[in-house]
Amino acid sequence: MLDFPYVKKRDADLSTNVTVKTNKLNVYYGSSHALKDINITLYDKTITAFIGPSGCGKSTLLRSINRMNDTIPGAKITGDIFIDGVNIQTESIQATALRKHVGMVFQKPNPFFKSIFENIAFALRIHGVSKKDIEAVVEESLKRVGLWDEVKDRLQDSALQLSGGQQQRLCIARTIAMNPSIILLDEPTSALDPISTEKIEQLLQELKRDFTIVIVTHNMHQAARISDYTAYFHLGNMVEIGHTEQIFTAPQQSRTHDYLSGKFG
Amino acid sequence: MKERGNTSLAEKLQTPARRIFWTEWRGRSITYVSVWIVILILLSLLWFITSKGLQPFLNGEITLSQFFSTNWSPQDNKFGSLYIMLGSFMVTIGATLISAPLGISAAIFMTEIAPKWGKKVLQPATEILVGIPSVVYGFIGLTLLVPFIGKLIGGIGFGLLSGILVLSIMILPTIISISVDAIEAVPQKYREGSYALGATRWQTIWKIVLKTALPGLMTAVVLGMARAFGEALAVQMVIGNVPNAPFHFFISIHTLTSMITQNMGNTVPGETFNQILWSMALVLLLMTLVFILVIRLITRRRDVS
Ligand SMILES: Nc1ncnc2c1ncn2[C@@H]1O[C@H](COP(=O)(O)OP(=O)(O)OP(=O)(O)O)[C@@H](O)[C@H]1O
Ligand SMILES: [Mg+2]
Repeated sequence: MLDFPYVKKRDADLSTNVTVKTNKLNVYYGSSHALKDINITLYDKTITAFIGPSGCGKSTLLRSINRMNDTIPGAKITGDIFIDGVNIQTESIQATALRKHVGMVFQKPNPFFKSIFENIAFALRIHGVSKKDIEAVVEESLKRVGLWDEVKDRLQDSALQLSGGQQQRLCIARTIAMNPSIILLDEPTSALDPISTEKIEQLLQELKRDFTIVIVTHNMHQAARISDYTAYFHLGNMVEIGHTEQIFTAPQQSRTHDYLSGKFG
Repeated sequence: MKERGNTSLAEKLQTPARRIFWTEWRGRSITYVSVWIVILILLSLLWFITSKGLQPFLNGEITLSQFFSTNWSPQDNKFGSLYIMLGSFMVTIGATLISAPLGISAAIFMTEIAPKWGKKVLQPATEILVGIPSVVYGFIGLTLLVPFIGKLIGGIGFGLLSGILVLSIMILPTIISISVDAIEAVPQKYREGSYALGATRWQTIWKIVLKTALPGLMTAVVLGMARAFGEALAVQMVIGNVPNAPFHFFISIHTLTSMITQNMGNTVPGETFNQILWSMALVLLLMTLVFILVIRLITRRRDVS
């Protein structure tokens, strides 16, 4: 029997607007075939969790959505990815503009070797936000991630002095400061303590009101707690996707069931 | 039964300990003795140079203000060394102004723009260049650069500019290889974070990578400066060795190091000129100390944050 007592109940008024849709997406790293014929749909202002054993391609799919795989030599992509109906695989799409629209947060908090203020201001400046607006946006985004009260007196201090959890919230703050429409998070809490993790989980619930969120996690209970949809991956295939409540109580595929019941992983 | 078991356990626990004690003791003695020898050599060197360098001042053969004046005329017992010191500074600063931007740009190219090519070809190449003895650089300067400048400008071609150019070529590989290390030490996660925010490659290099590597880059530049400041042979071969005011590119000049190498054999120990050379050595030593202090300060800042 699957045992996920805190599984999130299916929300009645989930949006049906499609934000991301892939069509026969394949990703190769050199000769290794990391993602196989992925057809996935992500809906507006929902949280989708990607779960699956290590190396199954979760990060690869995430990094395809904001074209971070462009930076890896030897990575090759076939198939299409549509964001709000626009095919981002098209030549004319600027990866830098796309990444403003699709923000990303990483497993290890990676604030820059700069002050807390500058970490966010950097993101704003490269997208041409005017000098007089920067301060206001910095404050607003720090408030949204619940960091403002903790850091407002030391905005000029190095961001590396913050705790791991604070650093990760700063990274989320600098991502939402760009006002993206999608936020991709790759195991954002796996390097954090339980309290910081809970703060970030609560934060994601709030951010869901404004952003489409995709989160990769190895913590199945986390996926069960916070996501609306869950996709299970195995060896480069998307085995199953569905409402989180359904996946964690009655998965359709036996491979999903085996994984969730801890038979392998 | 029980007691015997315990004593044998105690034996087991002690026997290897005795053996370990001796190897430990031996290892520790060797390192301690070595370190004391090194410290002794260092201290006696420092003491020797300092006392020798201060001698002409303590003996009243020259005053500090005379030493730091521009009146150089050994035959009249005038040893104002200001132009010579300035000569050292001018070649050092000139070489650094050329090599720092060039070297850091090359390091960026080798690590960020063409890492494959940079790793396979350019990096080993610069490492070889670092190892080339300075006399070879001087020889090349003397054979190629000096006649070329002479032809281009007219005159003999020896002088400040030739010194600057030879030194800048000489310290370039040093600056490149230390800058490469500094840039490569920037964790990949910073670059990823920057790209993920929609920064271009250039913005990432300029605002994130170089900013993070800055202490290391400054160390590279200061080490290059130190090498230029302390270089004797290569400089002596191309600067003309006349203690003129070093404010003109095509004029023959002198530096502290070239003055020492040129005259240490021609002067008699004990005579004032020879003592003054020691004072110059002391100035070189103090400057080296300053360079080391600067590097310490730069790298300390990094540890704090
Ligand atoms: N930069 C790369 N170069 C070559 N192969 C890669 C690269 N990144 C990932 N891969 C390969 O692609 C496959 C999928 O990797 P990916 O990182 O997407 O897995 P993942 O599901 O995120 O795993 P994890 O849970 O460990 O993070 C793996 O077999 C991996 O070895
Ligand atoms: Mg991953």
